[in-house]
Amino acid sequence: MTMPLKRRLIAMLWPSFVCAGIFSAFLFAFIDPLLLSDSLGVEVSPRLAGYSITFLVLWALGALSTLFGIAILKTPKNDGERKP
Amino acid sequence: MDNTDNSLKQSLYAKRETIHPRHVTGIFATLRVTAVVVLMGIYYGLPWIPWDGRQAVLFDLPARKFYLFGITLWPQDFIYLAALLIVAALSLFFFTAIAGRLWCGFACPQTVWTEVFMWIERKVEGDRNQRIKLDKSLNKKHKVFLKTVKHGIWIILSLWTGYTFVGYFTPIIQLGYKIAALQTGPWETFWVLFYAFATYGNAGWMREQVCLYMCPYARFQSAMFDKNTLVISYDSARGEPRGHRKRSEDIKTAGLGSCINCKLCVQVCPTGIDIRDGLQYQCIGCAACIDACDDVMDKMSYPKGLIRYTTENAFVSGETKLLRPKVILYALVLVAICAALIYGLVTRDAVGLDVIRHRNVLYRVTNEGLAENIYTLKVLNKDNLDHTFRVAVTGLPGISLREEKEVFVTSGHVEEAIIAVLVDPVDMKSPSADIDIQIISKNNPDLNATAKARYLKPR
Ligand code: SF4
Ligand code: SF4
Repeated sequence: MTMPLKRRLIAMLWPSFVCAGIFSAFLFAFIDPLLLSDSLGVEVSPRLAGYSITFLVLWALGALSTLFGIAILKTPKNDGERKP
Repeated sequence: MDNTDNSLKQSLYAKRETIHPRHVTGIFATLRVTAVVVLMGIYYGLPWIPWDGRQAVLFDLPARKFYLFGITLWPQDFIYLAALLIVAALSLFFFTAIAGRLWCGFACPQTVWTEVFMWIERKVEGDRNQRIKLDKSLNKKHKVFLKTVKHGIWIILSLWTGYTFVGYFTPIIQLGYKIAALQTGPWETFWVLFYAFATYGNAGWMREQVCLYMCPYARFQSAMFDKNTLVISYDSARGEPRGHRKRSEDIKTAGLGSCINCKLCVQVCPTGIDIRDGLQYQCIGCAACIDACDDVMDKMSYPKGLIRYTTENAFVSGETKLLRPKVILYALVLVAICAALIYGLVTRDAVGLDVIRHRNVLYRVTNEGLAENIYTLKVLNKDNLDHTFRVAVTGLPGISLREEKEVFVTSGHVEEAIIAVLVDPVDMKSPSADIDIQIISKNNPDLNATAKARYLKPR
C-alpha cells in the first residue's frame, strides 16, 4: 500500500489532533490542571501551560499510534517478487 | 531517470494541480458572501463585546469559567456544553438530510476563510485567467512582487485570526496590550501562532484538499442523504448532447441539448470537478456552478436551471417529499434537546449541595443518650458573589445540629463542611429515616439548596 507522503502526514497528525482536543476538553471539565500537576508531583503553572502541555502530549501519543498503524498497514515487499 | 523512480516520486508527492476558481456572481454567490460577512463579523467581533464590565463571550480557561453574556458556567456545568455540541451535531444531520452539503457551501470555516483568502488573491493577482498567466509568467520580478503582497496580507490576516482565537479564551483586550508590549506568556504566543499557521495553511494552501482528505463530515455526509435530499445536479436529459453552437441556431434542428460546453461550471468549481459527470463526493455543494450556468443560459435565452438544486426523486417522478420520518425525527429530537437545554439553563441552581455520610462511623450515641450521625457537605457556589451559607436540618422530630454551622464559599468554588446531626432515638420509629439538609445563603435566602440524606438509628 503506497500512500502519498502528504496524505500519510495528514492521517498521522490530523485525527490525533482532533481527538487530543476532545480528550483534553473532557478531562479538564472534571479535573483542574493545577490539581492534576500537583498529584503528579510536577510543577506546571499557570493553568494555560497545564492545558497546553497535556494537549500536546495527547496529540503526540495519538500521532505515534497512527504512525504505528500506518506502518503495519504497509505490505512489506517480497524480495523475490520485486520486479526489475 | 528510470520508471520506478518516476512512479515512486509520484506516489510520494501527490501531484496537485493548483485550482484557480473563476470568480462567479449570482444569487448563490450573493448568499455565500452574505454568510461569509455575517460569520466573519461574528467571529472577529464577538470577543470585543463588553458585558457587565467583562467580555460578553469568554471561555476563561485560566480561571475555569465560561461567560456567555448573562450566564456564567462552571466546569460542573459541562453537561450544558455537551448538550450544545449534541444540538450542533443534530442540526448538521437535519440540514444535511434536507439540503445536502449546505454546511460545506455556506457555513464551514474552511469555506468561509477560503472565500476571504480567495477574495484577497483576486484583488492582488486578478481573476482566474490572470492568475494562470501569472503562474506561467517569466517576468520574475512582477510575479514575486504580487505573490509577496498576497502572502503578506494573508499572513497578517492569519495572525489577527490567531489573536482573535486566543481572545476567546483569555481576555482579548489585555492580550492585545500584552502583545503590543511583547509580553505574552509562552503558551499564549504559541497558540496565536499555531492558529495563525493553521488558518494560513488551510485557507491559503490546502483549500479543497481539506475537504477531500481531512474532513470527517465529507466522508459520512452521504449516509445522511436519501432520494429526497436536495443536491446540485446537472440535468443531463436536457443538456445532452452538449456542444458549441451559435446563439441564433435552433437546438432542435442542430440536434443539441442545452449545454453549450463552455466549461464555465468547471472553471468556477472550487474543487475543480465537472458536475456534468454526476454527483461526486468532491462536490461541496457551493452552487457556484449553478450561478455560472444560469448566467450562460440567460445569455443563450434558454431557461435557467440546467444545473440546479434538485432531488433524485424529482428527477425520476417529479416529486420531492420534504417531511420524511428521518427529517421529522431529527427535528423532534432537536426541539426536545433545545427545550431541555433552555429549561436547564433558566432553572439552573446557583448553589449545589452534595451530602456524603461519614464512611467509617455509621452512628454514635452521645453521653446524653442522643443518636449522632456525621455527614460531609460539599457546597458549590456558582453565583457571581461570595456567600456564607447557614446549614439547617429537618425531617425528624427534635432533629438538631450539634453545633451551628456556617460555610463560607467564594464565588465559583466548592467548600467542604462536616456536620453532626442529633436525634433522640425514642422519636425514631424505623431503623433509618430520610432527613433533609439545607444550606441557605445568609444575605440572600433565595439562594439555597436541599439534599436528602439517610439517618441511621443506633441498634
Ligand atoms: S468538506 Fe468539510 S471542510 Fe470542506 S467545506 Fe465541507 S465541512 Fe468544510
Ligand atoms: S460541482 Fe458545483 S456545487 Fe459542486 S463544488 Fe463544484 S461548483 Fe460547487
